[in-house]
Amino acid sequence: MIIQKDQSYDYVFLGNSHARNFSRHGNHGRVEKKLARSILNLGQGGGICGPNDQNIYLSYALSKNVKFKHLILTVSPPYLYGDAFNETTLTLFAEPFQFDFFFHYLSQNAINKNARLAHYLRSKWRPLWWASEPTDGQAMLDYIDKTDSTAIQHGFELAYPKGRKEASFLGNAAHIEAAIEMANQQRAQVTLLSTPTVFGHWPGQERVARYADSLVLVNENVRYLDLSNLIQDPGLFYDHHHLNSAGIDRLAQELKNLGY
Amino acid sequence: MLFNSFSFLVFLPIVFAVYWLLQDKEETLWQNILLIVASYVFYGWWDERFLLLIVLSSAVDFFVGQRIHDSPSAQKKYWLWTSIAVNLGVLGFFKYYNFFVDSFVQAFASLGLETSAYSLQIILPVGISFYTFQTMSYSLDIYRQRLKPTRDPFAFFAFVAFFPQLVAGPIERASNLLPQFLTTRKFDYTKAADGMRQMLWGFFKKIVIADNCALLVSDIFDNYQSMPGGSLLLGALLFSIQIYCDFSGYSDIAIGCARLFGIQLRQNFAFPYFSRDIGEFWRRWHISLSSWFRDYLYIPLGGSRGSKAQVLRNIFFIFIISGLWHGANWTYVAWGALHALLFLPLILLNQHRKHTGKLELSSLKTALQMVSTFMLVSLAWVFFRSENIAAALEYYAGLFDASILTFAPHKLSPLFVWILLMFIFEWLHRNELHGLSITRWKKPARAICYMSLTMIIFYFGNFTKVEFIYFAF
Repeated sequence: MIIQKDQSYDYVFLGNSHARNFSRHGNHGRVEKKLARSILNLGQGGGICGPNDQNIYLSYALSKNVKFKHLILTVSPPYLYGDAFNETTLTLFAEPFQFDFFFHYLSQNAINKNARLAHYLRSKWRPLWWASEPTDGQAMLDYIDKTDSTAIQHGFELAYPKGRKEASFLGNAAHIEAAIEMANQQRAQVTLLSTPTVFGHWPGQERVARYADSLVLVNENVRYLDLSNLIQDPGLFYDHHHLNSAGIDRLAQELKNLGY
Repeated sequence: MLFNSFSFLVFLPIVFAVYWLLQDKEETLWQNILLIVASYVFYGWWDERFLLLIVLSSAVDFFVGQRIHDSPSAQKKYWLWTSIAVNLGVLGFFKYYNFFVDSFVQAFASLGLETSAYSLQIILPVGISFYTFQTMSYSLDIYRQRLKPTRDPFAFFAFVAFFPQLVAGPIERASNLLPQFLTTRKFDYTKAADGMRQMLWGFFKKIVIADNCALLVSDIFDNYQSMPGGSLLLGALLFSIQIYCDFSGYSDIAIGCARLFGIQLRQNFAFPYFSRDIGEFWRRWHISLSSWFRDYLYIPLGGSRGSKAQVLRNIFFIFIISGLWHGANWTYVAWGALHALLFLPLILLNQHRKHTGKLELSSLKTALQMVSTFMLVSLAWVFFRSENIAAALEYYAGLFDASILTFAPHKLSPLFVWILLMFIFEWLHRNELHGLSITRWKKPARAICYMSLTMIIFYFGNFTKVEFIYFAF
C-alpha cells in the first residue's frame, strides 16, 4: 500500500479480486491507456480483504489527500455475502511496513484487528517476505477450454461456505454505503460494477441487484452496472470468474464504449 | 480494551508517563483523577454504555459506606442491605435474569405446565462480577468495623475502576487497595521492573499458550462426539492449561501493570497445579474469589464449626455459589458441586489444611499427589467448558471408554514446548510471586530470557480475537 500524497486520480477501484484483476498481470497500464484515465486500484485479491478492510484502504488514501473523480466498486454475491473476507487475518501480509499505515489501521474498526496487525508485523520477519519479488507484469494468457459445471458449483460452495445469510449481506452492505459516503465527500461519481463471469449471474445476484438499485435511487451520483453476462467466451477467462489479459482488454473497451 | 491489543500498547505508556509526571502534584489527587479517566477510557473501549453501571455502583457504595459508618447502630444494617441489594440486583439482572427465567420455564415444562416468560436481550457488562464484589466488600468491611469509609471520592472511584484489575480481578479488598489510593505513590524502579517482568510472563501465558490451546480445545469440544477417548482426555487437559494460563496470565498482567503505577495487588494464583490435594488447590486458585466467599459467606454461615450436617451444607453452598458466580449455566453449578464432592472427604477427615506452606517435591508420593490432583481438577473442568450438562456427560462417556489410548491427529507442536517451558519456570519459582521471578539470574541471562520470551510471543502468539475467558463474568 504505497500511496503518494496529494495525488489525483480519475478512477479509484475498490473491491476484491474482480477489482484487482484490472491491475494484475500488467493489465493496469493497458487499462489506463485504453480508458485514457489515471487509476488507483485499491482492490485486493486472494480472498484476504473484505469490504471493511477495503474501506480502511480508502480512508488511508484519503488521509494522504488523494483526490478522485470516480469510485468503481466491484460488487458480487461472494463479496456481499462472505464473512471470511472480513475475518481473515492475512489481509496485510503482502504489504510493506509503514508506521503511518499501521497507526491508521489501529485507529479503525475491524474484526480480528489485532491478529491482522500482528500478522502484518510478523510477516516482515519471515523468509517468505524476504524472498518475495515484484511480479513480472507478464500478461495472463491462460484460458479455460470450456465451462465446467462441477468446478462452477464447487466455486459457489467455496464462495458461501456458510450459505447466503442476510445478516452477513447487511453487514457488508453497511461498508459499501460507508465507501459511497467517502466518495460523496469527494463529490465523486460511484459505479457499482458486477464484472463478467463465464456462467453469467452468481447465485444471489438478484439480491445484489436489488440492493444496488436501492442505492441508485437515493444517491444521484451512484450507478449500477451489471456486466455479469457481457463476456461469456471461456477463452477470455483464466478461471470461471476472472478475465485473462485479453478479457480485461475487452472489458476495458466495453467500459470505454459506455462512456468510462 | 484488551491487554493483548495494540491499542493497549499505545494506551499504557501514555498513561504511565502522565501518571508519574503528576507525582507530587497535590499528593494523590491528580494521579487518582488520571487513573479514573484512564480506567473509564479502558472500560468504555468495549461499550461506553456500561460506564453508567460502574459509575452508579461506585456512587452508591461511596455514599452508603459513609451512611453505614455515620448512622446509629439500628440503621446500619439497612444501609448495608441497600448496598447489597443494588450490587446484587445489578449483577442478578444482567447476568442471571435470562438464566432463571429459562430454567423456570423448562422446569414447568418438564411438569407438563406450559408457561410463557419474557426473556430479554441483555448484554453482560464486562467485569460486572468483579467490581460488584469489590464494592460489596467495602460496605461489608465498614459494617463489620474493619474499615473506616473514605471521604475522598476520587480515591474511592479510582479504587473501584482501577483499570488493571477492573474487568477480571483480582477482586481486591478495600482494606488492601483503598489506602494505596489515599497515600502518595513514589516511583520505585525495582518494583516497576518486576512488574514488567510479571506482565511479560502473563503475556506469554495468555497469547502463546492459552490462545493456542483454545484452538485445539475448541476443535475437540465442538466435535467431541466423533473424537476418540484419548483426544477427549487431551481436550480436558488442554482446557485445564488454557483456563489456567488465560486467567493467571491476565492476573499477572494486571498485577504487573498495577506495580508500574506503584499499586500492589494481591497474588491471585499461587501455582495451583502443583497442589497436593483439592484443599490446597482452592487455596492457590483464584485466591481473591475463594477468600471472598470464605470471609463473607462461609465463615458467617459457621464455616467448619457446627455439626457435620452444617459443615456439609456450608461446603456445598459455597462451592455451588462459586460455580454460579462463574456463569449463568447449570454446568457451572455442576462444576461447583463436583468440587464440593472432591473437597468433602478432606474436611470431614479434617485433612483440608494438611498441605500448607512451601511447595516441595519431597517424595514420589508428593509427585503422585500433585499429578492426581491435577487430573481430578482437569476432569472437573469438562463441566466448565461444556455447553450443557448432557454434553458434559456425553464427553465423560466418550472419554472413559476403550478408546482412551487412541488419539485423532492434532497439531501439538510447538505448543507442548511452551507448556513444558511454562511448567518448568513456574516450578522453579513456585515459592515466588510469579513464574518469571528471575532477579537472581545474571544480567546477560535475564536479557536473553526477556528477548526470547518476546520473540516467542511475537512469532508464536495467537492474536486472533480470543477474549479472556473470565471476561464473561
